[in-house]
Amino acid sequence: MAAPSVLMRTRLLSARTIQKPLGGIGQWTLFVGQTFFYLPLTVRRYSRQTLAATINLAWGRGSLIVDGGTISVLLILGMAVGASLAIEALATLNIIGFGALSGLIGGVGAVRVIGPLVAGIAFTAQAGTRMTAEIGAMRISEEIDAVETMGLRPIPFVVGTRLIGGMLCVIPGYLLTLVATFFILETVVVVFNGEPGGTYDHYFIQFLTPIDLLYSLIKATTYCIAATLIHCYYGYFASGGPVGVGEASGRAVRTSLVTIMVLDFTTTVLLWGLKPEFVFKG
Amino acid sequence: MATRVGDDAPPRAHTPVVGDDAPPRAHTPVLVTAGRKASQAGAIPVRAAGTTGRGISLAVAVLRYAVLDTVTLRMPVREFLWQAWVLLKVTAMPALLMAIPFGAMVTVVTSGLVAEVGATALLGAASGVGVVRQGAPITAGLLMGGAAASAIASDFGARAMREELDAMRVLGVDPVRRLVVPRFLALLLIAPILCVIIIASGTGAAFLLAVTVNGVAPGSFWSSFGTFAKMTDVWFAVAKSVVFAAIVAIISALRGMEAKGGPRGVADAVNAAVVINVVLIVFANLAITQIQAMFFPMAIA
Repeated sequence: MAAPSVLMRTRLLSARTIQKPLGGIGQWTLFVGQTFFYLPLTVRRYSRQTLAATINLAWGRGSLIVDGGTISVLLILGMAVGASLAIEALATLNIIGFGALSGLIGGVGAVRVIGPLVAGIAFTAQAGTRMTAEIGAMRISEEIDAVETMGLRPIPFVVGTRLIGGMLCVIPGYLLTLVATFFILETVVVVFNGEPGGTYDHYFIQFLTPIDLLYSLIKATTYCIAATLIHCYYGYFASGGPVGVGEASGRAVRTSLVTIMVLDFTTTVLLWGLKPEFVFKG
Repeated sequence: MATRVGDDAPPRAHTPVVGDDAPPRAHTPVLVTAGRKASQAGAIPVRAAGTTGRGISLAVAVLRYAVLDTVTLRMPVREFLWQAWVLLKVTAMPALLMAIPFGAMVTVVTSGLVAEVGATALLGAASGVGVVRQGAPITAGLLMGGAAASAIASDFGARAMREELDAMRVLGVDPVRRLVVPRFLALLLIAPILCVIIIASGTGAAFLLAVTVNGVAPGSFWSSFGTFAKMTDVWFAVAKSVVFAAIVAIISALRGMEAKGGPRGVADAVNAAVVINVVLIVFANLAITQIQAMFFPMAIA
């Protein structure tokens, strides 16, 4: 067989280099679009499966960390990160003579940045990798094809139920984590470092507005939706046996960590503006 | 979940079970379920202690072989360099992509406060503290604990599944010595690289945003950056990421080698490795931060 000409080869190469990313974009769009389009159907038809997914995501198999639920990991991470934040931020504020403003750490730092970020990371690490594991294993053992053969729609049945289940356990779990973080922050700042408690409470309450709490919840929920979609996507299209599922998990974790960071910046700017304003009322 | 069911399977599968268990079923199921749940709950701390013990013994073995083989020149150098390259490839690009929004976000969030008191030059200090002291090591740790850990755990999991590890043991080759030690050292090698990449790009992003949006003079940004961020902080950041790398290597290898049960087993191993890594990294960070705050208190140059 004659070798293809240089022209032919370059054309084939260029067609493939364009086709591959375009195909990827199309697959992503279809996947995400179908998941959201079928959400009402998921609630109506697969409510039992949604409940099972919620319980699984919230508590897992009942242990704290391994095979455990999202809520325990959220709480553990929230407390540990809150404590490091308090130590670091208090030292910085003290050095520039703003020690009295330590209430800002909880009222602004935890609510606007750290809380949602921790929620996203905890969700990715626990629930996200679990989703890739479950869905990837289903794909490899051809269970997804079986679901389709049985006349169920695989995307709402597999992905939609997990999306709703994730939301159902992240929203209360996140609020619980936020409260725990506030408690830890106050303990570290007031009890361990001896800052005056009244001053802390004053600035903490002054900067903790309901609208900020709502935005914070929106941020956390957005990251968890993004992480769910990413992890389900990589699990859903996993291939190549046991190693393939593991590699899909790695790609999913990488993608969702980067996505969470980028979303964190964009949502911070969108919700509070590029130059947020602090109004000191006293 | 969806099992394949033959034409005559349902009657055969269900009738005998119901028939045999029908009489005692009336009162015992609650007690049986409660007893099973209780014994499961009781087994959890035992399992956790067992995992901790195996992790510690693996860590001791890895440290011993790492020192011994380096001294006696029996290190699989090629494997070590190849692993370092592979792990760097999966983590370097995400590190860059995570550091840029992080640095920018530190500037945006603090700019409100410092603009209120008219001290925008302090934005340099904020990025010095936020990026160098906390952001860089944590981001490097998360990437290693997420991306590198899945690479290591799925590799070991697949080897355990294909019984390669048992075959190596039969041949008299210790998988810890041959496979775990190179990965451990490779992670220790790339941790400082990642940390430095993140510090550079995060600080760069913070600088660009402070200069363009907040109108800080470039000189005053760097002078306040230099006033607050010391070389000690950089060393601590690098040391933190090296500690995280050690945690990640041990935990991921342990979980991967213990995987069992097909694709789901490998994926579960990856899941467990990622979760344990993230939790341990956050707690190690808390401990080191506290040590740093106690023994190297922040001071202005």
